[in-house]
Order: sequence, then structure tokens, then C-alpha cells
Amino acid sequence: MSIDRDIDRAVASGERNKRTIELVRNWCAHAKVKKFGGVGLVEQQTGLPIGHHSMECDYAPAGGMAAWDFADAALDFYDRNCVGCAKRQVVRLPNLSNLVEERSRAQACAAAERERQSKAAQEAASRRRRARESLRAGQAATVLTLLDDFERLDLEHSEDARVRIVETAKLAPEVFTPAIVNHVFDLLDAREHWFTEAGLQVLQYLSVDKRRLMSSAMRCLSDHDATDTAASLVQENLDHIDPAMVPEAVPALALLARSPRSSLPPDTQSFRPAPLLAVFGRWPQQVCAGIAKLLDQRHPYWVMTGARSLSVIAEIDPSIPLRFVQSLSAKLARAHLLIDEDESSRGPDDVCADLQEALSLALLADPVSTDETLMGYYEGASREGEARLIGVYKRLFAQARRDDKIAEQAGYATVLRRLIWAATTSPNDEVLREVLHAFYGEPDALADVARSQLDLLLGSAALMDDRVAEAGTDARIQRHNNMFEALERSNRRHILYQLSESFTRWAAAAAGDDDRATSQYVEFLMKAGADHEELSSTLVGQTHFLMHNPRGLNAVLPVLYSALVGASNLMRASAAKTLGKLDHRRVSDLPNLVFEAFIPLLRDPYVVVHQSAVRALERFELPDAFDSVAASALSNLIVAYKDEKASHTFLMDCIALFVQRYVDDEAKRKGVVEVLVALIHGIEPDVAVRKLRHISRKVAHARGYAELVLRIVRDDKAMAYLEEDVMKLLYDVPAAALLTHRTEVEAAALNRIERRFVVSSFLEVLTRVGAWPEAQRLAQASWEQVPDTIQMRQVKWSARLQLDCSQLRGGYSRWPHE
Amino acid sequence: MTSPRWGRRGEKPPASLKRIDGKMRKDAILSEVFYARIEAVEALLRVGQPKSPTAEELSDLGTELDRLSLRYGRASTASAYGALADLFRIVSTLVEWRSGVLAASPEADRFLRSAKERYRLWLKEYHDNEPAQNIVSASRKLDDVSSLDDVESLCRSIASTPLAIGVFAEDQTYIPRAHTPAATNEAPTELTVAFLKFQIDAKPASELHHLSPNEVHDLEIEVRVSRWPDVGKQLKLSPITIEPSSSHDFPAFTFDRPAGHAPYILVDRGRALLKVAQGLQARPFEFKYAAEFLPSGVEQPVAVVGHRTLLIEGLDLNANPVTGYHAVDRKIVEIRDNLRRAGLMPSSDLKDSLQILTALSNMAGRAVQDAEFAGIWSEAQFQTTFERSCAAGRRLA
Repeated sequence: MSIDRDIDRAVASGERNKRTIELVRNWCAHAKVKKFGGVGLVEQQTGLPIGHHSMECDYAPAGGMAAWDFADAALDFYDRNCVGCAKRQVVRLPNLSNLVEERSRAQACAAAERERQSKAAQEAASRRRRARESLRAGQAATVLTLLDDFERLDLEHSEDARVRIVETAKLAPEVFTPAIVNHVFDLLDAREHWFTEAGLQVLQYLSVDKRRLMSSAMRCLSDHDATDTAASLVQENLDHIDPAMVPEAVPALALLARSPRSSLPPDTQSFRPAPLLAVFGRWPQQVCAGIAKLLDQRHPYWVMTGARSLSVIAEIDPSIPLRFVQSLSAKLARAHLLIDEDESSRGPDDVCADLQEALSLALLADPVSTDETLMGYYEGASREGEARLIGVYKRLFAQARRDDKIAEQAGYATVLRRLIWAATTSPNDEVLREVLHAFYGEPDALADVARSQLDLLLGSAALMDDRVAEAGTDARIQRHNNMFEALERSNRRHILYQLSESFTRWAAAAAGDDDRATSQYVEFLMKAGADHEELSSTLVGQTHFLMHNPRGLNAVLPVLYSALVGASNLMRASAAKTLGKLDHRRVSDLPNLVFEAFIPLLRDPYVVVHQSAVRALERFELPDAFDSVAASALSNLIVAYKDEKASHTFLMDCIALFVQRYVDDEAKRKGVVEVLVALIHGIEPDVAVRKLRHISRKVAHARGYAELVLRIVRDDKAMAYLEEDVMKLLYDVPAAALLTHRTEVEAAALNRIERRFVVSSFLEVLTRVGAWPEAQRLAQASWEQVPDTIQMRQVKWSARLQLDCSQLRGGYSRWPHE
Repeated sequence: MTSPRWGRRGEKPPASLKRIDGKMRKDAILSEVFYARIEAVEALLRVGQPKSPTAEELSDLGTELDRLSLRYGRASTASAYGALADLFRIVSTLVEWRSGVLAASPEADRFLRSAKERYRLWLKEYHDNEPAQNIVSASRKLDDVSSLDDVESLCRSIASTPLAIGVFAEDQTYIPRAHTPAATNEAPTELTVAFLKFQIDAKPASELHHLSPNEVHDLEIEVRVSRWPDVGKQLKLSPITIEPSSSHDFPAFTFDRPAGHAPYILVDRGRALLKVAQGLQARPFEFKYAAEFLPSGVEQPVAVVGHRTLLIEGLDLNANPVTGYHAVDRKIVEIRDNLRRAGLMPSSDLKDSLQILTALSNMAGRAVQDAEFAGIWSEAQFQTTFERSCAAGRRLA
């Protein structure tokens, strides 16, 4: 549902932008609209201009900006460039003037409102002045001076005046006569915001009626005015507080304690939890009532504030979130119904993170009952609600993994069991994704918990394997109505597989360094056997976690070796991958028999096996004795794959690996590199570049390399997103080869004349080898290509500089001194 | 054609030239370098003219070019500019000589001698440097300088030398380096474990050692440890193998922290046992000893070197002959080992090949020892006998 809401929002924005674009085009024939960034799915499907757009004009001296609401960018551009422009060519109405007029009307309304407020403020100021005048009668000079400071503070809101008043209260409290004290209270009661801070500061130094003072302070908190000072007063005078006022003050105290994250980075708020904790210590029921009111709100900001205050209080009373489990769960499960969106783009999704955090604390405080409550809501929740509720468990895991050590294991064991239950039973993809995120990476601080539940993890991996098999069967026998359905099925199968892999990974990572757990894992792997080929291969694929030390290596090697030489393709591939994941020290401890078993995998007829073997070989080095057979196997693969267009990425991997590991001087003499370069000629340029950049130094001197690079430079796809890498290849071409191909190089550069970076790079390369005439022609063409407009003036200057450089460096006779 | 002049040496070029409307890369430094170069060229061309530059000015220009050369990422461009900067400093000495001669200063020739010696050193550095070849050629006259005219001519020659255009500076990706007090201390010796000796039954272990199954053998080991980790308590040497533990009992050696100073030589002895016999088809047992300091969290060896692999053949050809002919059996084992080492044959094919090889070898042994094919045999007779013999064999049949 949040996706639907986002789509609606994007469509509305696109429609607004479409209207603005029309207005801009009607405004002036010179005006252009430029899209900033890529095209999203909604934009693609609707054809609406969604995203950031900017306005441009060749005659604009001041530039502009791109904005999500194009009207903002257009009006900004108008103010900077269009007002008084003599070049404007009007097209038709309606145009940008409509937006300008709308803005002017809005500005006029705002001005009128400001005027009304100003008048009201003046009347209030007159009343205050009269009140102060009445206080002056018959008073001593010190009192009159104080009243002067009041006057200045009122008129100028001067900081100096505020300091003087407060310091007077500190040093000479007797100057504050009862009438003046009363006046201070009156100002506070009248909610004069300019005075609140000073008023509270003054009263705290005077011996005044504490109940009245606390009443004012609590009212300030309710109004979110001078909250820092009011909170300090409250913290120090807890016994004088009227408990009935506490619930209203809780929002301000909660904001001080931990306000919601800012939606704009960087979020550098500092928190002050002490006042809230102090009030909670004295008036817990009232504080809870205040929090309950916050949680009952519909506005995201207040719901977040309430949830976050629970996290603060839980630090001194871990059981406090338990009181709110019902309301938090209800809010979380039905967030789309119970929480509004706000202007600052905080929506239900943002609020849910805080609700989940509060619930996760409750889960830690009482795992069993909280789990029961959450599951009660889970039963009747929507698909999104289910995922949010499971997100509570995920959040707890994510937090625990960031910690060095966890205190309470029982709660986490409950969480782990619940997550596994959800993974093995839920048909809801969103829920499965949440569980997957919970088991992301390795267990870290949760390793002990995972080890204690090793059987459950391994058993669940087996169950997930069955679910993967079911999903696979369905996909094969059912016809899909459309592409999205097929995509969804494929995604679901992938999630299920990833879950199985995650459970296995956690089991293996937890079992590492523990001999008993390692044996348990290996036994499970041996029992899984050929009947569960996919599960077995997943289990083998995680055994590198067990081989941290010689004991683990010894425990795993028999099964790993069996997998390497076994009949199952998946197992062979998985075993090969595992070898690639071993750390250097463990690889050096491997008996040669393992490498002997690995080598035939490079010649394996099954694609999954030999490709996995090559990818593994990229990550470890074989003992020298195996170099020749490995090189031979790799060269066989290169020959076999040279015409397999769909697998050219793999072919390029093989070539790169071969060059990096096995091309020596002897091979160079025999022309091996020339053959490989010729083969790379047959590979799509954008595919070739990715690996060629790593081996270009070793192959650059081979015949055909210059032509290869020129071919890549001419390829639009490669240059579209690998431009810098391609240019680096060009720098590696030897000078002699570049001079031989100087004409083609010039032509390739001229073909990309609009790309400043490319042209500059070509200039560097051409002048490095002394191809000055070509460099001059290129610089000339580049300079001529840049339009002579205000907008492009600086680019034109830059091109001119390069032109001058290339001409002046061409020879002594061209220097201006001659 | 005249060039626009936006800045002087030492001044930063306008920021707009480095980042032009988002279309120019921020590391473009051509404008900065170009004007330093122009200024340098102009100074060279003024040598011998009314406003001739001083030696100090030329030296400063060389320093500026040097600074800029360091900003180039491309080795070729940086090297050309670096060569020119060094040459500037040499030329500044020549200019000093020129001033000395004109002022009739005593011993002015020492500047000329110094310039020529420095030039020789400069040539040593750059004569093979491809990007600097233009400058090397242009400066050849320096060795023959003997008059003031020669200096001016040399300066013009250097000034007119084209230099590659370098637009972009080196990518200044900053990788923070940890500055801890420990990092400044001298690094300790690398922690290595070297296997010095393996002896089985008091004999050095051979490349492929034969052991009788179900018999206990002495295994003696000697290792050298470069140093001991600070908190390491024990060093454990464990045999790593692909065999299940039920098939063998090879010892793990554990050493406590030794007394004295590193390096340490540690010797120990244990008992090795192969619990199962091995067939011809089977690969030899391989035990590779790994070294690990305990507890497992302590520093571990960066390298374990030396002979630490035991290849144990559990096939006893005397007690369990393959063909019944000892020499033939040894040849079969040799062929088997070669095929495995080459890795050219899948294990299933190798197994089949050995079956056939065993049958054929047995027949060959019989043919030689018992003269089974004495006399002249027709091909048909031989084939028939051969087929019968194969059919009678348990494996091939």
C-alpha cells in the first residue's frame, strides 16, 4: 500500500510538472527544459515528467537549479534570468506568467496576514506598556531601571536586556516587588513568547509561590515554549507539580529526551532525557497517560515521539514498554489506517521503525507474552501489517548484531524461533523479506544463540529447501498470465533459496571454532545426501566458516573432497566455490589431493561446475605444480567459449585470469597475447572493458591492442557508462602504435567531440606521442563545437585554452614572440 | 594568435576554469600548468635580452614546474615536466655563469663546470626516459656551451621544445592511514613456522613413503619457530587430510612455550598408524601438517614453510601384489601416479584404464615369465586367447 501511495504521489507530481513544462514552453521560444537524473518505472509507464527538471536558456547569464516540483525551478530561473530579458520571444498564453501571478497573489495574502498580526501585536504591546507605567508610580530608581529593562526587552527583544533582568533577579531579588512578580506571572499566563524564557529564569531565583511557578512551567511545556528552562524547573521541583498537568507536558519532555530523527541530514540533535526520567520517577502513571495520548495520535511526528520516549524510559525501567504492547502492536499492524502522512514526508513507514523499536524492547523484557500479543495481531493483520510485526523481531536481531555482546539469550532464542517459524510457514513475500533481512550476513553477537539452536537452523534450511522445490515445481507447470507474475514467482523462489542459504550460513558461522557444533553440522550434511542435492550443495557452500582452524579443516575435508569428486554437479560447483572462500592460510594447509580434485573441475563438461571453478580460482592460487594443467584447462575454456556470445563475460574472466596468472615471457614470445587480443576483438566492447582494464598493461604491447582500444572507443554502449575506464585503456597504448593509427585516433576523438572529458584525454594522448597536427585539429573542432552562448561561455573558454596549448606547442615558429 | 592571460605564476587560476558548468572535471589543471609553462618559456627566451631573467628567477620557475609535475597522474606527463624542471635549475646555473662573465667575477667558470656536471647526472636519469626525449634532444648543446651565445641558443632550443598537453591531475583519493604509537615502533619478526625434518621409523620421509597398514610406525618431527606470540600458550601441529578419521591415526604434536630466545627448534615424536589397506585405484594418503598457536584467538603464523606433507602409500605390493609380477606392479603404480599428477583424465576414466592396464600387464607378465605365447601366433589365435583370458579375469569379465 505504501507503494501505491508513492505511485499516486509520483503521478500527481508528474502531472504538475507537465503543466509547468507547457507554461515554460509557452513563455519563451529560447526556454528549454532539461531532465535531471534517470527515468523511473512510473515515469516510463505514464509518460509523465516525474523527477527533477531544470529550466535552461542560451541567453541566461545566471543559470538555475533543478527541482522535484518544476514550478519551483522555473520561478527561480525566472527571477534570476527572465525579468527584464531583452531576448525573450513570446510563444503563447497561458505561460509562466500564470505561475508568477499565482505566486504574487500568495505573497499578497501572506503580506495581509502579516499586517493583521502586526496590528494585533501593536495593540498588545500598548496594553503591556500601560501595565508597566502603572507599576512605576512611586518606585525607587532600581525598580524603575528594572522596568526600563522590561521595556527594552519588550520593544527590542534584546538579549542584553534579558540578561540584565535575569542577573538582577540573581543578585538583587528584592528589586522584584510583589507587583512586579505578579506582572511577570501575568506575562507568562498571557503566553507572551518573547518573555517566556526570561520570565521562567527570573522566577526561579525569586522566592515565589512554587505551585504557581510550576503551573507556569508546565503550561510552557504544554505550549512547547522555553522547554529547556521549563524542563529544568520541573526537574528540580517535582513535588510542586500538579499531576493533572503532567500528561500535557509529556510531549515536550519526550521531545527533549529523544525527538524524532530529522528528515533532513545531517541529524545532529542532542538529547536531554533527565527531565522526562525525573518526572516519570515521581509521576509514572501520569507520564504513561501522556505517552498513551501520544500513541493515540494520527500524526506521525507525535506517534514517533511517544514510541521514542518509551525507549528512553526503558533504560531505567525495562518493563515500561510492556504496558503499551497492545497499542503499539495495533498501531503497527494497522499503520496504514491509523497513521497519517505529514508534509515532511514522514509516513507510516518512518513511524513503524520507532514503533518496532519500542516493541522490540518489550520483547526483550518479556519475550513470551509479547510474542503472544504480537502473534495475536499477526493473525488478523494485512500483508503489510504482518511484515511490520515480523519487522519487530528483525529489528531486535539487527540491533543485537551491532552490539559486541548480548546480555539476555533467552529472548533472542524466542525471536530466532519466531523468525524461523515465519520463514517456514508464511506465504507472504513481505514477511519472508523481513526474515531474510534479519538473517543477513553472519550472526556476530548472536553466535551463541544460533549455536544453541543449531538443529533448528539446519532443520529449517531443509524445510526451506522443500519450499524452494515446491516453488520451482509450480513455476514449471503453471503458465504465467503476464511478465510481472513470472517475475514475482521467480523472486519468491529466490527469496526462499536465500532463506535456506541464510539459515545454513548462520548455522555454519555459529558452528565454526566449536568442535561439537562442527561435527553436528558435518553429520547433518552427510545425512542430507543425494536426495537433497540443493540443500547439500548449500551446506557445502558454507563450510568455509567451519574451516577457520586445522580441527575444522580436518572435520570438513572428507565431505568437501567427496563433493569435489562426486557425481552431483551442484555439489562439485559448490565445493569449488567454497575453496574460493577459504582464507589464504587455510588454502596453504590444504593437501595437494584437494587441488588434484579441483583441477578436473576446470575441465568439467557442466557449465555450472567449470564456471564456479574459474571464479574460485580467481580468489586463490594453486601450488606451482598445478600451473601448467590449470593454464591448459583455462586455455581450453577460452577456446570453447570464444563463440558463445551469451557467455562472453565468462570468456573475458577466463582471459583475464589466464593473462594475470599464466602469461610469462615465453608465452609472449610465442604470440599467446596476440591470440588473446584477437579473441577479445570478438567480445562486446562493454563486456571486454570491465576486465581489460585490469590486464591492459600486460597486453598493451601486443599486436592488435591499439585497434582493440579504438574499437572500444567507437562503441556507444561502452562509452556511455565506462568512459573513464576506456580512456585509461587508451593511455596504455604504446606510442608507436598510436602514431601508426593517428588518423583513426583523431577520427574516434572527433566522433565524440561533444564529450569534453574524452576530447581532453585524446589531446593528452595525441600530444604525448607528438601527433601535434591531429591534436590541433581536434582542439579546433572541439572549440568550434561549443556554442558561443552565455550558458556555455566558460566551456568555450576551456576549449579555447586547449586550442591555444595545442597550437603554441606545435613549434617554435608559432610562439607569439617570433 | 594571442593567448588570454588569466593569471600569473603563484596565483591560483580562476575557480571557474576548474569546474565549468559541471561539464569539466574538477581535476582539470591545464590552465594552471599552461601559464607556468608559458612563463618559463618566456623567461628562457629573454635570456640575453634587455630584461634577462636572473638565475634565481629561473630556479623558482623550475620549482614551480616541479610542483606542478607532481600533480599529474600520468607518469609520462609528470616525467616530462619533471625533466624540464630539473633542466631549468641547471640552466639557472648557466645564467649565473653568464652574469659572472659579464661582471668579470673571479672564478665564474665554476658555474659552467657545475652546470655541465649536473647535466651529466640529469642525462643519466632521463636519457632512456621516453616522455623526456624531446627535452633531452633539445638540451644536447649544453655539453658544448663555451660562449654566452651558446647559452642563449640553448635557451631558445629548450623553449621551443613541445611538451605533451596534460589536462588532468592525479586522482587524489585519500586513504587515511592509521597513526598509532604502535605503528611507529619497529615491526616484530614475522611469525613463521618452518618444518625441518620428518622421519618415519628413523628414516627421512621420502616423497612417497610406503607404510604397512595396521602396523605402528614412529613419526619424528622437527620444526623451527621464528618467535612465539605474546599470549600464545601452545603450538599445535595437526595433520590435515581428506581421509575420514577412522582410516588412520596420525599424531598431532603440541608444544608448550619454550624457554630461551627465538628462534626455537622443537622436536617431538609420535606414533602413526594406517588402519586400512589401500587398493591400487586409491590415491596415496596425504597428510599435510598445519601449524596453529593456541588459544585460537592469538596471533597465527603468516607462513608455514618447509616439507610438511607426508604422502603415504598404504599399498603393500609384496603382501598384496597386483599382477603377481613385482616389476610390472611397480610400473603400473608409476603410470598411475603420472596420470594423476597430469590431471588430464577424470577419475572414473583413470579407474577403468587401471583395470585394463592390470589385466594387460598380468598377461604381459605371464607372456614373459611363462613364455605363454611361445612360437608363432596368428593374429586371430592371439585375439581369441586374449579374449578368453580377459573373460576369465574377474574384473574385466
